[in-house]
Amino acid sequence: MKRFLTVAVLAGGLGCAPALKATLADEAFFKSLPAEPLRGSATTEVLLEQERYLYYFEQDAVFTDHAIHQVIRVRSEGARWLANLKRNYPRRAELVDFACRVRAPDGSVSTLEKAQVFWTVDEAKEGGQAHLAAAIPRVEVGSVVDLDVVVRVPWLENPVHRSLKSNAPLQRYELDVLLSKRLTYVMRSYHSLQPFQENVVDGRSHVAWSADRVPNEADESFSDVEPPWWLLRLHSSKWGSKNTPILSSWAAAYEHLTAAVDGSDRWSKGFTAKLDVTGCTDARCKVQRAWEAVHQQTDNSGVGRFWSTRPLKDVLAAGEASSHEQVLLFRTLLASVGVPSDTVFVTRPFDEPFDPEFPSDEHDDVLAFVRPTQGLEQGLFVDAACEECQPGILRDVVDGSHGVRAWAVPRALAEPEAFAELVTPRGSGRSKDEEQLTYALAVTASGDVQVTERRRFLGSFATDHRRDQRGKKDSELREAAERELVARQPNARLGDWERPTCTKASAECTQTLTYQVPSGATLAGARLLVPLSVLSTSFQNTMVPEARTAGIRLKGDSVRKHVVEVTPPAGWHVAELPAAFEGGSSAISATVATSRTGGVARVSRRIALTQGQYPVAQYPRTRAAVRTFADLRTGAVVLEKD
Amino acid sequence: MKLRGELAVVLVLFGCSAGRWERVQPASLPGAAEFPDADRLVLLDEDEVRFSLSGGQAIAEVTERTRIKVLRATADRPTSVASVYSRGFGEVVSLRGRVVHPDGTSDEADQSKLVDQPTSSYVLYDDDRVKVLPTPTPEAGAVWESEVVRRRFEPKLLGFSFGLAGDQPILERRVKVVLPPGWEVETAWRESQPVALARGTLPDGSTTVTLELQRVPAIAHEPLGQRAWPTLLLRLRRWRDAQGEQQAFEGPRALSAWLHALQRESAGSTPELDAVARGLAAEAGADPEARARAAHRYVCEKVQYCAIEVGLGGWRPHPAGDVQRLGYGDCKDKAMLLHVLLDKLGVESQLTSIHSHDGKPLPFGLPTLGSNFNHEILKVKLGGQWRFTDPTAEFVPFGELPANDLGADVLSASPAGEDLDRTPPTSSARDERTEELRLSASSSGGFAGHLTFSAWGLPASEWRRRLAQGAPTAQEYGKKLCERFPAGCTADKVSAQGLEKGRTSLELQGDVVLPGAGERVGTTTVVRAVHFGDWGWTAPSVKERRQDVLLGAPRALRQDVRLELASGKVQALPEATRLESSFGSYQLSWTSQDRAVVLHRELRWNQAVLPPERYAELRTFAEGIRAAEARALVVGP
Repeated sequence: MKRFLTVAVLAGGLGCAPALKATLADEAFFKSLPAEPLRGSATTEVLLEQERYLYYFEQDAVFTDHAIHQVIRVRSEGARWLANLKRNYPRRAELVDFACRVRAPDGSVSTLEKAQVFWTVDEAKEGGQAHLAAAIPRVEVGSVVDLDVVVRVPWLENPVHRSLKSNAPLQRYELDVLLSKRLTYVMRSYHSLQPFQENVVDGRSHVAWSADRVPNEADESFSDVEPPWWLLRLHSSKWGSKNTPILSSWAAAYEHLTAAVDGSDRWSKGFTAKLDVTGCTDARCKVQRAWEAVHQQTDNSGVGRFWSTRPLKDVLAAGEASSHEQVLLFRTLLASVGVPSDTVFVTRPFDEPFDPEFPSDEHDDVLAFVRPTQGLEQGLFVDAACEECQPGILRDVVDGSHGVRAWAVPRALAEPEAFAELVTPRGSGRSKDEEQLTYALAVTASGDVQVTERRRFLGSFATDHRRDQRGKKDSELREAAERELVARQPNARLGDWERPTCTKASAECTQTLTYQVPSGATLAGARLLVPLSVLSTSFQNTMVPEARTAGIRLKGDSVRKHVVEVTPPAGWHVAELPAAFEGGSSAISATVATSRTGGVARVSRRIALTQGQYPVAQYPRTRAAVRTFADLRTGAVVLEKD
Repeated sequence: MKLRGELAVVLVLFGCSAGRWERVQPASLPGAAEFPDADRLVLLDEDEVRFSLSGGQAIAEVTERTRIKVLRATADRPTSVASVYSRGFGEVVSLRGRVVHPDGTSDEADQSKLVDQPTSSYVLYDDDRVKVLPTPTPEAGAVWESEVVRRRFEPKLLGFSFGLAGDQPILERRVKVVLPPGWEVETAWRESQPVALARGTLPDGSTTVTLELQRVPAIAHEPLGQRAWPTLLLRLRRWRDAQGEQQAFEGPRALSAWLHALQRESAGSTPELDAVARGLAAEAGADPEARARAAHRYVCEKVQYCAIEVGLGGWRPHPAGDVQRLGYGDCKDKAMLLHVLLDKLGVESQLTSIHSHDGKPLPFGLPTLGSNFNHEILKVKLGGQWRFTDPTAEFVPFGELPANDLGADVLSASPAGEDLDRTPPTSSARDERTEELRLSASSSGGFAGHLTFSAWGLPASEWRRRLAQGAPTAQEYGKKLCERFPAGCTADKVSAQGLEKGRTSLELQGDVVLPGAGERVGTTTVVRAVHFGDWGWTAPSVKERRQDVLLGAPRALRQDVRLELASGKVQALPEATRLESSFGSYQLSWTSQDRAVVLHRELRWNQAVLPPERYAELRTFAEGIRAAEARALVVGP
């Protein structure tokens, strides 16, 4: 009979080299399992996770073994996908060990045979990955999957970090790191009072850390809850008598990136920078021209990485560019007209309080810094990847954050020397995100309503709209508009529709559409009730519960203004309007205002979000603002016959 | 390792023999002005298939050439040449690509960047691979060009499918087949009227079959539609190899018998499997249908979907004993395990190949392994009648089928072979969902009360799956129940019945609060049917309708809402609506009863697919529903 699975590849190992071995939970562990999950909303529960690292030297090579041992309880059908284990690794990784056992609900135990593990490697001269696939037996509702995978890479993984943020609650997490004594390290943890336990085991440095009963993410909008994190950075390694610092400074952390950016010409091959600076008398003007040129020639497609940055020739051909590519293009254009600039890596690496003592090359975003020069005496931070950020304007999340300005100085007969300094990106202003919607309702005596809707989006709202429609045909956009319209106004029939007009330079999108709502207003005796159901908003289901546990975190400022103008039919007048409101908190404030002018009813609402972190005590007032703003949709304007 | 070395040599040789690119001058080619609705123009889409003998076996060497002009800066554009192959069934000999810029200069793809990697799919592991060669990015006005040379083996099992149109216009579509003397091919057409094929003879006696199409329009997306791609199906019918005269499957019966022979070696049993069958027999008793249901439920509960396909593994199930022991398998594995269990329980069944569709069944083409089926179910004989069942659709009870399996061509496997058959157009005798709401005005606004939700047939299966995917708690069931109400909802004390696999109906009950139901001005409340669930749907306007309209499987929805009016009285009661059509019906009524108002609505779909010419009628039907749902009940002082 044919074997069920025919291919099995496990790394042969390195002979006498130290290696982590896969281990599984013992009987005692299973006897001590908690009966109730931490939070009922999850489809799985991680009963135990043990993460282990082993850093070691073998002859002239270095290795990192990494093991993740998880014991997971399957709580519903939605988690039976666990049977299909698929993970990707770097191409040079080796599968060192693998163990898996499943306890079915009836208590029977199935062990995954190593012959049921598939490890395949891409054939490639550059790039490529290794792929782990394993079919885990007997994954049923109620099964407990006990799984340990050990993988080795032939380098020192540095830095490493882990957030315990997950969709599944975690009963216990244990970290164990073993390092060769030739290595020194630094560790940090956040949102945890648990100290690191450090000692020496078998001649190696050993660090342990743990966390207990970490719940999965709560379903609370704008939550500020962060789970425990840990980070490890190797500080130095000893080769013979020489102690080599690793990531010992910010310059060292960014050395390789700086060299790749400033010390390589692979981006500019086949690319000739052309920037028209006719009429420019100072650097500020040239900066403006370069920024405009970047956005005229490319659309942003996401943050990207320097390592996957394409030659600028390809970037221009594609017309789409990552943030890294846009910054590179911007700097190259500037350099071509004699304005020097550097790269600024916006380093909020773990979405955590910035730690200046913990150099790391992990970054979330990238800017350019135009060096001080005539007309720009203070230098200038430029977000070349943000189309709503004219030079000097920064987004809320970037302005005042932490950055590393990195540059390289060429050396004769040697690699360029890399430098870096910590900086605080500051703009002369912040980009403004604003939504302005105006609905003009003309009502007939029989209750039919004709609506003219005018939309105006500014800042990143405009960027998002422009991006959404890029490459789409008018027919597709009209169909989407029709669907969106009837979702918020069930009886509406779209009339005139125009493609949104978006202007990159002013980060603005405008659009006008008209639609009819037959019987949209309701006749009740001598009264005509005009519902405000045109007022749709993404806040419709936000902050509905009266109480919550988490504080509020808002990542940026934004404003939404909506106006409904109701013109009564001839012989009718405005009789009743919704109640006005003004309130909220320092996080979110809202107003509802009403007026009657020249026989036309005007109902407006406004909601403003202010960047920051706010205590849960502010929730009731914040909620009141959000709900009043959202619930205006269920209100109405009442018309009466003259 | 030796094999890899030989392959590298082959690559080099073919790389040399691939020849020069044809001269292309982008500026002289048609542009955006001539194709205002297109982002890209396919200048050439050419497949050349040369059948020959290699090592005494018939093979096909296929050369695929594509030339695309990028018409607009906003167009999606190709950035790599890729070709998938399945080890044992084919190999990719060479890939190359280039970009010709608007000024006539060109950049060739760098062969050192070629990657050979596993394909990414729903399958956990298979031996399909893909070779990917990144190319330079073509700018607007540039021409992107590729050439793939590959070899295909097993001509008896695998045919060819040549797509004849795409989502962009094609200037020239060519298919050319070259056959050694005496060899014959057979063709068929799918989603296309037959097109005349040119046949010729070359000086060496080889024969050619050629299809040439010019200016093929793009097939656009249409709402509620599914693009039907016109396709030329082709297979080798007769040929001669080292073993002598060979012939393809005569017809579906021959393919059926071949499949049976391939699959039967997985039908063996094990002591554990025997024990399972005995347990099921003891549980179900002597009734064959009860036994079949028990076996079906066992497979659904114990075997998790997980596909591992190596070699012929795309068509041959794993041994039933292994599937039972390990508790995982794909559709074939599940069907085979159920087949073996049923056999032991004295119930006759046949493995059945089907194309699981997205609303529009795929008609059977030529009798080959590929291009007809993508799924395996089972045909079970009970009381002298054959019934279909799909053990991969775990939440659909025995004897019913999921929507994707309905109305589809199927081929069952048996020793003597079976003819083509078709699955029924509906899932069960009762595919229905009902809701009963008893509500009264809530002190905090909106309405509150009790909801009873019941479902049978397909709607029950769909809800069973939805509920089972989440956490098994009353709170989570309540959240899902509340998703039905667009104006917000909270649920409490929710109980559920019929969640177990194998059940034919399902019921959920609970207390609900609908805070956003109703619009309020002072003491007046306006209530619409849409507040209790949006039944409206959209049939967007289109310039021209070409595609069939897909309505989903036939089904019915019913709702009764009783609103108790503690105070106030009805000021306006919407008139009743009744819409009738051959494809469906809809009725809505509001009635006033004592201190209460009762809303009744019912929507019934009778047909899954409508011809395009009835789209306008469907739009009118949809608008009629929306108008009825939006009409308001007014309650005032």
